[in-house]
Amino acid sequence: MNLSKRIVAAFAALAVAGVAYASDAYTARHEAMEKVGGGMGTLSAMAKKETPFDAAVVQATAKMQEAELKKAAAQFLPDTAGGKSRAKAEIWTNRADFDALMQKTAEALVALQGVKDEAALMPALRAAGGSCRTCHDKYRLPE
Amino acid sequence: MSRGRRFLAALATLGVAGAAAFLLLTRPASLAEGAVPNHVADLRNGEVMYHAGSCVACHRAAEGGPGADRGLPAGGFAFPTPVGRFYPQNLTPDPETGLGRWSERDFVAAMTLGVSPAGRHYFPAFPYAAYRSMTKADLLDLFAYLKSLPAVKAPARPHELPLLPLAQRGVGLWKQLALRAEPWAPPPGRSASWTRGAYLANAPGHCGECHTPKDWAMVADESRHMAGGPHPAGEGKVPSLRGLLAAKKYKDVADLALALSAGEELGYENLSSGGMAAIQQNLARLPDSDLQAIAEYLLSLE
Ligand code: HEC
Ligand code: HEC
Ligand code: HEC
Repeated sequence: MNLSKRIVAAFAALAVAGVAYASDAYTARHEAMEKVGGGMGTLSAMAKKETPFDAAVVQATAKMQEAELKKAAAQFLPDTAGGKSRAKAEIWTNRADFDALMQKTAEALVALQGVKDEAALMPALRAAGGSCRTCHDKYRLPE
Repeated sequence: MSRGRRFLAALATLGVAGAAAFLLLTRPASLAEGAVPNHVADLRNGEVMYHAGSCVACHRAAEGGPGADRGLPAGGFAFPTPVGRFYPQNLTPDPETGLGRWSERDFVAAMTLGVSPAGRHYFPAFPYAAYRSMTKADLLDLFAYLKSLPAVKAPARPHELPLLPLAQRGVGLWKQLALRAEPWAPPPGRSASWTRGAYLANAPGHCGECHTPKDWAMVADESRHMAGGPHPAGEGKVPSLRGLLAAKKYKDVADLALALSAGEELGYENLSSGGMAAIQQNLARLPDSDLQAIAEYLLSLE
């Protein structure tokens, strides 16, 4: 391979790596967010009394959600919007606000883990879910 | 084609008739004598209309601006669209900067003809194409409710639009197409609750502004009523509201009514992005019977 071909090949490899980087980050946060969403399904069914109240399940579910939300938060790497992603470009121009919303939501999920009786579930769940909405309103595109 | 380009293309196509015809066609209309009946206002109903119309979603105060702490519709919050950035005005009764000096007639003309007290066309980012289908009684109750809010001094911030004067006249042409049909009226023969839901969704609720796709001239394509399409703000899509039951998105009327009232707080995750969160949070303030009615209407759309 002559020098110019090698340079072209190096750039091509970089470009491919760039695409892989963006799609890996997207896939990782998408999957983590879907798990956080799945937890909402479990807990809202309980809050609506479709399933029986169980403090242990509440605690385990909200703990899983907190961990997955943190995983997702770590995957909003620079230049990973676009394509299938619903992330808004403003995430990277208002990063401090975005991170603060992640933090606030994680705290609401911690509070949810402490729910011991049925009456406390509904308000704790709605506070956490309202916090998801605030961020999806500001920083998530419609599908 | 972007929304702005489509708008210009529409203007170009229609504008060839010449300047004289353009000016004639684009002259702002005014209300007929006797268009505003005598009415004893019902503030409670006015408040319901205010929330059903999500007025504060667009007219909210600028972040940290006057009235923001009390959630008042003092205006100043940016409303970005593909044609430019709007700053919806102050709807509180301040005489200098709000609706304090407006008459009932001024208000009804703004909401049904999209014309200002000074005779200017409002841009259709103000969804009067839907509000014009509200009953006079509901409009007058809404006006009385706005007049009952605390007055906030918050001067209007000019919209940031390229080609402002031409575009403003061009709105007259758009109105020839968009307001040509009669205002929406519920079809006869349905239950009282379905009829109420249909009215709330189509008139004050302006759900079709996003959920009904638009044709080449940016006019709602009613053959695809609530069928979803590109988001009017330019990025992403708006979901269809037809066939929600068949798609198993909601179990029944009670489930959808709860979704409209709680949104993502109870894990209903398709009601948060693209402006829907603000609509949902306004709807949440309606009486439960109205939410049930809207849900009944939506689930009847196949
Ligand atoms: C600080 C911002 C933020 C918070 C807080 C947040 N999310 Fe998200 N969420 C996003 C963004 C941005 C996306 C889109 C990611 C992408 O597509 O790249 C997303 C995507 C999702 C999706 C996937 C939707 C799809 O179509 O890909 C689900 C489900 C979801 N979030 C659930 C939740 C739940 C439940 C919570 C609260 C417990 C939550 N999220 C909290 C920002 C947030
Ligand atoms: C989707 C956004 C949106 C919603 C919702 C909305 N408006 Fe507006 N409104 C606007 C915009 C944008 C303007 C400015 C139009 C212009 O200046 O051409 C406006 C202007 C107005 C004006 C004229 C104000 C003036 O000072 O000239 C009135 C009155 C008004 N709106 C009332 C309402 C009421 C009442 C509601 C609720 C039933 C409402 N609007 C809901 C966007 C909105
Ligand atoms: C500003 C544009 C806008 C307006 C106005 C609007 N919607 Fe929406 N709507 C959306 C978007 C965007 C979504 C998808 C949100 C998401 O994915 O998080 C949505 C989602 C929904 C959904 C969930 C659909 C599903 O697939 O589960 C329902 C139900 C709904 N809207 C009802 C309404 C009703 C009722 C009104 C009128 C009172 C209305 N919408 C007005 C933009 C709008």
